[in-house]
Amino acid sequence: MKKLFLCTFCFFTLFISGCGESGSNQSTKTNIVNKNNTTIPKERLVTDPYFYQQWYLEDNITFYKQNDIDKNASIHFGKSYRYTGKGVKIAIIDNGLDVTHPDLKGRIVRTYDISTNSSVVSNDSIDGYHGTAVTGIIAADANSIGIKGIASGSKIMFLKYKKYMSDSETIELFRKAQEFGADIINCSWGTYNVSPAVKEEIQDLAKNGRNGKGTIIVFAAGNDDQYMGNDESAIPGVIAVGSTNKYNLRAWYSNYGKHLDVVAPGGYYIGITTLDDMGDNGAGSLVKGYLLANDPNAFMGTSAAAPIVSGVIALMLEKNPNMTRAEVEEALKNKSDKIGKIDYVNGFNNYYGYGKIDASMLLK
Amino acid sequence: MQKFIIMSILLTLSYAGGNFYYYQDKKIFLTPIQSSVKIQRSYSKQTNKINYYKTRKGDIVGIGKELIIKLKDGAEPQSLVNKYHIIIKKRLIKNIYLVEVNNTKETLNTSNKLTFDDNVIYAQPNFIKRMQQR
Repeated sequence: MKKLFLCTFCFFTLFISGCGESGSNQSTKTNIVNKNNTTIPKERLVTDPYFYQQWYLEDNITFYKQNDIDKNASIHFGKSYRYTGKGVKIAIIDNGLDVTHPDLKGRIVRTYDISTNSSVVSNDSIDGYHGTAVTGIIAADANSIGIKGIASGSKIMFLKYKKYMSDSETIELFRKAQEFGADIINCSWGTYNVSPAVKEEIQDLAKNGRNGKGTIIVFAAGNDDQYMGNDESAIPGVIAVGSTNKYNLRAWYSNYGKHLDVVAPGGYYIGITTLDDMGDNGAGSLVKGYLLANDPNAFMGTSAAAPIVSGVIALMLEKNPNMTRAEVEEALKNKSDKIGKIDYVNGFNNYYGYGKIDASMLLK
Repeated sequence: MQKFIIMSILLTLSYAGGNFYYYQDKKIFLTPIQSSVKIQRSYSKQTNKINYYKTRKGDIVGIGKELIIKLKDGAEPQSLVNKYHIIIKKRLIKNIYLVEVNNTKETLNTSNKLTFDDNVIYAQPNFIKRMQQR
């Protein structure tokens, strides 16, 4: 009954908010002119029909009102449409990818499955949609289909992990990402139990990757409302991402600690609109191939927040390809919004890190 | 009181079994558990026997015949081969190596002996862990 009510509510919401290009145009029209009054190139206009639901990027007044979203809940994408992550390589380590998704057509340049040592990375489990959902946030094409990924012009490399992996296999996956030339590695997973060897591999990449500029490694901080502890996200040199909700506050589940770097929308009460597996392993129940914001199985968590940060970093690297990992980290520390009701000491607290990322500030 | 005594005996027995490894000079105790079918399926490609343990924090880890060792600068992995009856499988990073023992039963023991070798910075089983998506 509850599910039925939610579905009815969602369809009603979609209906009254346009459910089509008019909804998306409403928000993009306000963002096509940059600070110097020059128009953003035509190809960078967003015409993807579910773009209006991507509340985490910017505020769409109608959608925000209908869903009671705080006006500052987004990452203020604003003028960031000038960038698409062109020339930046992003590796996503996750549990499987629907490479046949129409919103990913032409977007994936390399794939690798550690189980089979092959390039076949399709899903084989009921929760296999996770990798597709994470990838969609970063990479969905700006193609008038579905949604727009934050770095829709970047090159995506997908590395499929096993559900149970040995430490040496984890090291191997990071090695593969390096071999593929990744500038950024997104990891929406963790073990809470990092071995010293894995830690050393990750730190070595963060320090010496990208020809000495340092590979940017982004980890989801975890959804267990607990101290990050001995987790991959707590490794110094890694960018650890916590989650905010639609009220622009820390989502209750988001892990915390002294190694938390930033927070980004990860959703609660409303999900992060993204891609879903097109096949039987899809989780969505409203539109095939998509996990809409109001889907009963909407995508939420620090898994969703991390790729938002990875995507924005890709835009920063497009703007300035010589930026080092340390400089990226410094920019995140200094230019994030100090949101929430907890005091920041020297710009930091354990629950929001250095604050919520602000794309407009980072790409000024 | 009776409950307390039984618990104490059980704890002592589990520690006496040598189910521990060293992490940053601390003994980390492991409790053997029955392997779950789910893990076995996921790790079906591994032909070697895997033993499963629960950490004190409740995480489940698998241990096979492989170990990861970090050597001190200048130390040669070959020098450990005969002494500990191990095979060097490959170099993982710089002076970190993946090695193998003959039998899964020896993994923890060999790991703990290697920890105290003058040429070794640390030694640990090549743990199999669950990747928790978030």
